[in-house]
Amino acid sequence: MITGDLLIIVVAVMAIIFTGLGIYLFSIDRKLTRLEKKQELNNMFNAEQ
Amino acid sequence: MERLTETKIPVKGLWWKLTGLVLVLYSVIAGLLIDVPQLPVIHQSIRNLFYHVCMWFGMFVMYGTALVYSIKYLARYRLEDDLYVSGAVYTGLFFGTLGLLTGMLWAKFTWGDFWTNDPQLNGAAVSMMAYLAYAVLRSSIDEVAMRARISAVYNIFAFMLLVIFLGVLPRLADSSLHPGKGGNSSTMEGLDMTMRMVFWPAVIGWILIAVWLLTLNVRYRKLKLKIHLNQTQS
Amino acid sequence: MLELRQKYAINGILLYVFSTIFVVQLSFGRVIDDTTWIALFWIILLFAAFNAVSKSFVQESSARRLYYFTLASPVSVVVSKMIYNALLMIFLGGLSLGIYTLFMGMPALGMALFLPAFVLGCIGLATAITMVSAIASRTGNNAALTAILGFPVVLPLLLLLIKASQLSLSRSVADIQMLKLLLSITLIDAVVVILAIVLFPYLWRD
Repeated sequence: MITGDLLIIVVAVMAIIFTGLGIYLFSIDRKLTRLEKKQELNNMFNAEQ
Repeated sequence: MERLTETKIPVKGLWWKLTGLVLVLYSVIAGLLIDVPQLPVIHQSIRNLFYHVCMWFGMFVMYGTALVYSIKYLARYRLEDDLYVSGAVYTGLFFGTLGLLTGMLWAKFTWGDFWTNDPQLNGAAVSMMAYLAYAVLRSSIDEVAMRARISAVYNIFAFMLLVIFLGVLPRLADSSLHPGKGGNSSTMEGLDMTMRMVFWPAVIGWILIAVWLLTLNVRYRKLKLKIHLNQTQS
Repeated sequence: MLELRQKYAINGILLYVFSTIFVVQLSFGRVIDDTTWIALFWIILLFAAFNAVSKSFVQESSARRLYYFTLASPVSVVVSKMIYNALLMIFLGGLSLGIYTLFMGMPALGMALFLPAFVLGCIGLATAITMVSAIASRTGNNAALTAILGFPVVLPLLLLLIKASQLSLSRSVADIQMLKLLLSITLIDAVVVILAIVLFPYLWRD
């Protein structure tokens, strides 16, 4: 078993990396949602014309 | 222009994506911290079980999704299904690559070499090649409808054969380095209770992440198509 | 039933097989160990198979395909092509085996075991490559694409065949392992044929 200190550091680093990746994925998701809403508005606008 | 309809999965839902992330995070942290049974050869690296195997699960789910949407496409000829097929294959390739990398690292540690002549490894390599060939096939046809149809056919063909090769043959093989196949004592059967508590949430978490990646991919390409079409119309 | 291909194509493949085996003999000499013999043989046969079978779809132009389309149902088209290719492969395989033996000698293959595996293997190679070249024929670039698509599909079959050949080296009486292998090869053959029959109509429409 690796020493306690090293273990905590590894766990912390992994947690940070994965949380960071999760935040990145979320930001992409939100951007896509925003763009999709804009498309819907555009379509409705064009349809009304 | 074809009206691209909404899908059944609540794509914009927040809770399942969050669940996936939380589960993965949990599995990563807990996987490093919990006690594991002491086994010869493998020692601590058995923790890789939480990651390496999950990759294969995710990949398999993706390829299964690709199969379902391939059949759907051949039944209904809706271009949206084709987007799902290709998206699923690409996501599957991604997870498969991760699976291979984690597998190679694990192999180097436990068996001493990055690659061996093991039926499961061969199966993994073959499936990689098959789906990479799928990507090549897609890139060689320009017309959208034909590309969708032909790649759907190859997808179904390759999947069925791969199911046989990956599922049936390793069980028949007489020698294997992987646990649980071909004469080795199975570590999967003896999966410790504590490990099980981390493993199954990890699998579910990674599958959710895989689905999320798939939906992101499909939504992105759908948007690109829509914007492109709008531009050419106006 | 479809027409047979032109003569020169077959001659080309025979020449290919002959020259490959000749090169093998030149580089290895007459005496090689059994495993190498088997592996080389199946590799040679594999490439000959690719060459021979993929020709069955390449030569058709759209006009001819339309003509066939109005004549025969897609199922009969694909079945007849597969039967033709299977027979072709068995013939080619047998010939290659003969030439190979002539040049390289033959290790102690238990014939009762090797022959079924061999025939089944030829059929499997033929049907799988037929299906794959059908897929590839609907796109522009044929030669490379058939190989790329076909290789992952054919590789498991090849591994089984090599193993079966190796097993038939040491025994002349069937045992569990050999039967298992033969069964697997038959299974792959059957699955390929069924899949081809189901999927081919989708490829055929234009």
